[in-house]
Formats: sequence, C-alpha cells, structure tokens
Amino acid sequence: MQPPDTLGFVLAVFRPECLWAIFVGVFGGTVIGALPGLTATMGVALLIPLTFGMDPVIGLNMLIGIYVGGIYGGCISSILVKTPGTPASAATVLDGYPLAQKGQAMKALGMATIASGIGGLFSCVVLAFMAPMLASMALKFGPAEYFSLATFGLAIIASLSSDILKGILVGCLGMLLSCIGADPIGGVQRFTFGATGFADGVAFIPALIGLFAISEVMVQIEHIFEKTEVTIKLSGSIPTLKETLACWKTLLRGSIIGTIVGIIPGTGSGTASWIAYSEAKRTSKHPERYGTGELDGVAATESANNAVCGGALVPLLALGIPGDSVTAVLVGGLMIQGLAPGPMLFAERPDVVIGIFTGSFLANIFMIIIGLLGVGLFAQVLKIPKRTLVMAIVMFCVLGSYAINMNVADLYTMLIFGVVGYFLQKYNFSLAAVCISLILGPLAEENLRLAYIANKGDLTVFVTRPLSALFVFLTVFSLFWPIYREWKTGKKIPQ
Amino acid sequence: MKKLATILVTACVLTAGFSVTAAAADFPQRPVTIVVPWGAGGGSDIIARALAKPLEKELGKPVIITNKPGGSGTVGTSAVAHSRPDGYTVGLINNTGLIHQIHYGGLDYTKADLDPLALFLRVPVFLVVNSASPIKNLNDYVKAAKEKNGSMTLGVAAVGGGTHLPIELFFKAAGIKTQPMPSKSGGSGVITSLVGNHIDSAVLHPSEVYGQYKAGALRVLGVLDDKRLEAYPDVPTFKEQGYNVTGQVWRSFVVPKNTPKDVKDILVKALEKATKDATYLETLEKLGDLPTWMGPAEFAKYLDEDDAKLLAIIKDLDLYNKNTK
Repeated sequence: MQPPDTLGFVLAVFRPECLWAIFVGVFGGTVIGALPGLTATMGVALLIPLTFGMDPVIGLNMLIGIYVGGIYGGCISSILVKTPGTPASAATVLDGYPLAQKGQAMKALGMATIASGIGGLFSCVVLAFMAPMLASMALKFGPAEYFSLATFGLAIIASLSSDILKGILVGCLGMLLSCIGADPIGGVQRFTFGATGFADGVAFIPALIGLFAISEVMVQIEHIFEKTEVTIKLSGSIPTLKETLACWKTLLRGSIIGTIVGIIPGTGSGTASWIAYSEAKRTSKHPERYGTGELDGVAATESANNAVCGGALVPLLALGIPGDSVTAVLVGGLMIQGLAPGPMLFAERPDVVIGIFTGSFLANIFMIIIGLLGVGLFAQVLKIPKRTLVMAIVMFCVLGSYAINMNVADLYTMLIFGVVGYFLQKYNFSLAAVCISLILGPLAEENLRLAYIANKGDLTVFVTRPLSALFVFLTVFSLFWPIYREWKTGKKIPQ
Repeated sequence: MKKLATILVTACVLTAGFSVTAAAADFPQRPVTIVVPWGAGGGSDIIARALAKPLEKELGKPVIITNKPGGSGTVGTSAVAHSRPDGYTVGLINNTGLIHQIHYGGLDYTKADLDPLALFLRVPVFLVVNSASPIKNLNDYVKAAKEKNGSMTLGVAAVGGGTHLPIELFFKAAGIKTQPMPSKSGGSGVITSLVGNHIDSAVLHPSEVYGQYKAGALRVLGVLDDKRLEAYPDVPTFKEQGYNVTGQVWRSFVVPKNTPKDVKDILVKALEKATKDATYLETLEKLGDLPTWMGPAEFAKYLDEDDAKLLAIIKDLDLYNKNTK
C-alpha cells in the first residue's frame, strides 16, 4: 500500500477557497456563540445542508470553524453582560464579569481569547498525533465510570459556595429540577403536570439564560433610575506576555481537562469548564480571589471549553462516536458527504482526515486573530447606556430561548428561572451550583440506574472498576482537601 | 367618522383572506411549512431539507423547514395536529409520533387528529453484537438469552422507542426476554456501549453501525426487513433464519384533519414527484434509508395494521398508558 501523501493533503487545506470557508465559519461561529441562546450545536446543524454540494474538506472545515468559533464566542457575552452566550461559557461569568465591572473587560476578553486558542491548539495536537490510541480509552467508560465522573463534577459545588450549606441546598434544587420530564430509563413523565412543553424536562439553555441573564437584568433595573449612573471606564488592554505566562499552569491544566472531557463521549464543554474552574481554584495560592475577577479563572474555563473541540473529534474520527453534542451533529455533516465516520475513515479517506486535522489548527489560529482584533470593538458594548443595554439583553434572551425549540414553554422556563435566580442572588446563593447540578444531575441519574440494572443491583462496581474508583477517590480528595489545608495552615481560608 | 369607516372597511378586507380557505386551485399561495419534530441535523431533518428543494419546484412556492423537537417527537406532532387545516402546515412524522407515544398516554392529540398523506421512507433495523461475542446468529442469540434468563442486556436508543418495539416482535416470536439499556444520547450512545463491551447486544439502524461494522468491530445478526439490504449483502433477514417477523421505523407526511381533499391531492402529487428526485435519492442512499411509497389510502390501512401489531407488544411490555396511570 502506498503511504498517504500527508504533505499534499495538508497543503490542500491552504487553497484560498478552503481558507475562506474556515474564516467565514469561525467568524460566523463567534457571532452565533456570542448571541445568548444560539449555540455552536445549532449553528453547525443549520449549516450542514449548505455543505452538501461542497468539497468534503472545505465543507467539513467550515463546520469545524463554526464549532470552534461558537464555543469561543460564548465568552464575549459572559464577560461583558453576564449572559453566557453558550452553556460552555457559563463558568466564565464567575470571574469574567467582575473583571469587566472593574473596567478590565479588554484584559478579560484578551485572556479568554488566548486561553481559548491555547486550549484549542493543544487539543488539536493531541487529536493529530494520538487520536486512535486515546479513542480506545474512551470506550472504557461504562455506566459506573460516567456516574463517578458526574459525582466528581458535582463535588465542585462544595468549593464554589461561600456557605457550604447554601451550596448543597441550591445544588439539590438543581437536581430536583433536572428530574422534571421523561425519566431517563423508562421514559415515564415526571412532574410535568400534563404539560407537553415540559416532556423533555426543563429546557437547559432557557433555564441558563433566565438564571444568569434575566436575574442580572432585574438586579440592574433596581438602579436604573438613579441619576448617578456609573459608566464603567474602559482601562487596560489585552494581557501582557507576563500576565499570560503567569497563568501557564492554569492554561495547561485547563487544556488537559478539556481534551480529556472532550474525548469521553456524552460529556462536553459545559462540564469541562466547570471542572477546570474548580481545579484552578482548588490548586490556587489564593482561592479567595476567585469569583471577584481573577484572570486565572477566565483562563481555566476558556482553555478547557475550547480544548473540548479537538478532544471531541478524537472518538468521532477514530471510532465514529461523537464526543459531545456538536460532534453528534457533525456525524450528519460527514454522512451527507457520503463519509461513514468510523475506524475505516483513516484508511479510506486520509485526505479528509488530514484535512480536518489541518483545518482545526487553522480554525484556532483564525479564532485568535479575530478575537484579538475584535477585543476593543466588543468592549464598546459596555459604553452603551444601561437602560438601552438592559432592553437589548432582554430581547436577545427572549429570541434565543424561543429559537432553540420554537416552544413557548421555554419562555416561561426562562422567566421563572429569572425570578428564582434574582432571589437566589439577593440571598447569596450560588447560581453556579444550580447550573452544575442541571448539567450533571441527569448524567449521574441515568448512569447510576444503568449501572444498577447492568450489575443486578450490585453497587460495588463503582469502586471495583479502576477508572470509576479513580474518580471516586478524586471526589473524596477534592471534598476533603480544603479542610486538610485549613487544618495544616492553621487558619481559616475564606472560600 | 368617514375616516373610521374607511379604516373598518380596510380592516375587513385585509382580514377576509384569513378566514376563508383559499380555493384549492390556487394552492399554494404562500410558503408551505414542513414541521420536523426532531432536532436540526438528525435523520428526519436531513431528509426534510433534502426534499425541500424538489418540493419547491413542484409546488412553485418556498418550502420552510421548522424543527420542533421534544418528547420523542410528540411536541412537534402535537403542533401539527393543532395547526390550521389549510395544507400550509405539513408534518414529517415517524411511527413513534403516530403510534407508540399515543399509547404511552399523556398527549393532547390522537391518530384521528391527523390525516395521512404518504408513507415515503423505511429505516431498517439491525440486531447487533460485539464481534468478540460468541453469538453468531439468531439461534445462538435465543439460546444465550434463555440461559441468561432475562438478564441479557439490549442497548436501545429509548425504551419503547422506534427501534425497540420492532425487535420485541422477534423476542415475542422466539419466546425470550431481554433487559433494555437506553441511552440519553440515542444510537451513538448505544454504539459506544456495544463497542466498549458494556452491553451484550443492541438494536440499531444501518447508518449507525456502518463504520464499526466495516472495521469488523461489530457483528450484525440480522436485518428485520423483507429482504437483504444492498449495502449489506452478507446480513441475512430474520425470515431466512426462521423467524417470520418484520418491522422498521418509517417516516411519513401528515396534515391536520379536515384539510380539504383537493389541497391534500395537490400535496400528495407534489410529494410523489419530489421523492423521485435524483439528488434526494442520493442522500437517502448515503444515509442507508430505503425509499418507498404508499399513498393516502394505502398508508391509512397500513397505519392501522402496524398500530394493532405494536399495541399488542406495548401491552406485553407493560408500557401501555405508562404516563397516565
């Protein structure tokens, strides 16, 4: 067999029309990501039919451009208006928004761009050189492993809340809310009270928009008629090389976490960014600064969520199994080109596989360029008077919540979560805890029950299977680490 | 006063068009919407979008695809059932929305709220095991299932879903029971568990198994269809192996009941022509779906037969009215 013409396939991506397609994809994706409610998944899904007549390498790279841009773009609205553009950037709100409030929006946006780029490029290297090897690791994940991973993620709630009891309380609230709708095993409707609109449970994106954006709008409205409107002064610029290098550990850790979470099928950028955030906080020398505008916090979440892109492509290209929801839609994009994603793709169409590797590198580079050039422009949003901005935010929230499923029930969901979120904020409950349990609660429930069924009720599987045991250990460790450190240093660490 | 009268008259003239259904000869006067009760990028959605172009040519008006996902296809199906019966809203509904979910209860529509136009597509179903499994054919499977006494795990996209019920027809014929293992991420989640050896067997569509099958990671025990598939000449049917059962997921077009007959005729004619479009057929081939055609009368009869057949299974599995009891 003749060896594939690797260099030729790489160079094929540098055709002007292909470069243009990637650029358009990244740019369009960034806009889609920045608009609350419009997600990378939706952007890719809606553009698949357009790629039908295109050359496979061009069409698929455009979709990957949207993917990369969409995950990145979410951070812009998270940082500027406290509205996560996509669930991937929900965790970026925690430190990104306080930074913008301090007038350092440019710095936060710059760091988010650099972190996204580093995370993305890191995962592309992993994708290009280790895909087949890592893909087989993803297959080791059975119900027991997924449950332990979800539990590990849920343990983050402990480290996010100022008051542990309040954290657990709202975490439970999120878990209860995630029980609404069809149960994951038998499909029996729970707590829907006959409303078909809630058959699939609480719609996650409208809930997220309500929780973070609408509640914030209400907080803002409290002060809207005060004469002395404080306009945020835009100071500072994009992070310096020194500031970036100071975050290198966080960036690397975020990239690794994102890539691994991406490779594991069924978990995506939302999960990755929360885990990365909590790990960054746990290992930080001054965890108390997290949540008040710590540059490290932005670096952690944004490097992790974009590292998911390359990671999620690993099982897709090597096994034909999507790593997250966007790559699940990408399967359709491959099939419409007559390409069956799976182990044979490497052998049958090396031009496409190598084209995708190269294209994802370029997409990340374009993303950094677009991001860094746009930072100054994006930040102008903060100069818009609050009264106008608040109205525009509400409009986008309503539009975005409805656009996902064209379901009016989703608008009620948004509104109710907005009101609930407002009171939670007022009484110092962590919105993040609700968000995490909404993401991970269903994953934990489904896999706990599947593990239970598969092992005929024997629950020791969680500790007898090595990978699962590892996550159980990490969970226990992350819960007791702060207590241990407190005891060792002999002083109380404000959380 | 004169001004007020003018406004009233104008308003009456403008709104008159809404209350009177346009004469069929003029149909369609404006864009026709196809409601897809599944998300963008899924199987039904790709089909709808591939059909939109040839359909536009036949109807002479734009065709808009609207995704209304949720509740295993019931949210969108309900929206079609409750839309204006003027032919401008057409649902691309598969059997889960027209049969299965209705028997599970808790819905605000029944089969009678929808008029069938055409059944135009079959998606075959495979019974699959990991290639490391000692099970080589259906007889081995039945024997193994009997030995395991009901604990043989079967990966399904959803319990009582489109792929699950047809395979239960086989289990009934063979007198065996299995333990269904659903996955929230549907077929792709099932494939992950099967290749990773976390489940004993699975029921999947051809497009879902293709890559892993060609790579030799999976073994297809049989196709639950009348005859072998062109793309899988080595996969025998269930009939060949002594089990006279067939079943599949099918996709159809429906309109709300009371849609005028002449409007339905125009739609059926346009659909019949559009489904013969070469580019559309090429898309089907890539997805591994089988084109088929049943007009309104034939489809209505088939729908009743399929309904009766599946209702028996639904009752056996104790899924009947699971959402209302």
